[in-house]
Amino acid sequence: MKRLRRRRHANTALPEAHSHECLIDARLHLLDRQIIDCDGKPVGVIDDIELDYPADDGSSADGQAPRTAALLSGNTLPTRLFGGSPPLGRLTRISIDDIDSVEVAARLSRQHDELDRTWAERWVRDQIIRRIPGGSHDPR
Amino acid sequence: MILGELLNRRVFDSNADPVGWVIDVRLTARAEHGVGFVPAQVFGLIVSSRNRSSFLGYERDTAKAPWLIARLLRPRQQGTFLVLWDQLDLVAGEIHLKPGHTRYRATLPPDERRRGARRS
Repeated sequence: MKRLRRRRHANTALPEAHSHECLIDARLHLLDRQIIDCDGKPVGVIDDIELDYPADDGSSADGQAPRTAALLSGNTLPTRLFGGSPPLGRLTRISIDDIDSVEVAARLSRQHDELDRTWAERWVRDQIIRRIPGGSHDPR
Repeated sequence: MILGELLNRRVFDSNADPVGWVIDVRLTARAEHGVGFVPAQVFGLIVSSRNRSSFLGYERDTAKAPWLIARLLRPRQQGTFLVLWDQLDLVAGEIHLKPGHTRYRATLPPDERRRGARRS
């Protein structure tokens, strides 16, 4: 009887005022989606989301909901295998202002080369690949 | 704060009795172009009294197919509810529901903006 009552209690529908809002579930619709730049080049995967919460910096939150500030992307494979969470320093930030839209993948409004996330790839390209004979131009 | 700090957290009611775990975070999104969305703000938390994580999302969607899987999974997800952000308190890193909070249905109604569309 107690269990039935609890289930009925959980069945309240959302008020009509929220019916026009576009609602998403972070785990279902954001995490692990691919990030691509404005030209369709892969940038990474959404590993976490940074939330801008007023109470974090000591100011009063006053029931204010956190805002999404950035997508976080990085090497999270070790922590997924062995547990825990990666240190924030190992995740690269992509500001929410740089997101054009999220569909099947998160499309950015910036180019691959302008992002901090891709510095290692750029370094390998400029310092190693470019020095190999024939490595400074597209294959023909 | 990052999203990962909220997921899998224990949730307590106003009497400090455990209620369940945060299995997901519901966000509002801007959908200005009619195609895709941009996440904007936390709307509430999805709390499950039985599981620490969600499997296939049957408790949140109106999807009922394939019938056999829905039939198997749905009982595992009874008691999952949505609580709005303004109806909870973060006390010393713990999530407490305010007295008199409302438990909303966790169902996520179908929305074409969320699904996106193919660009021409």
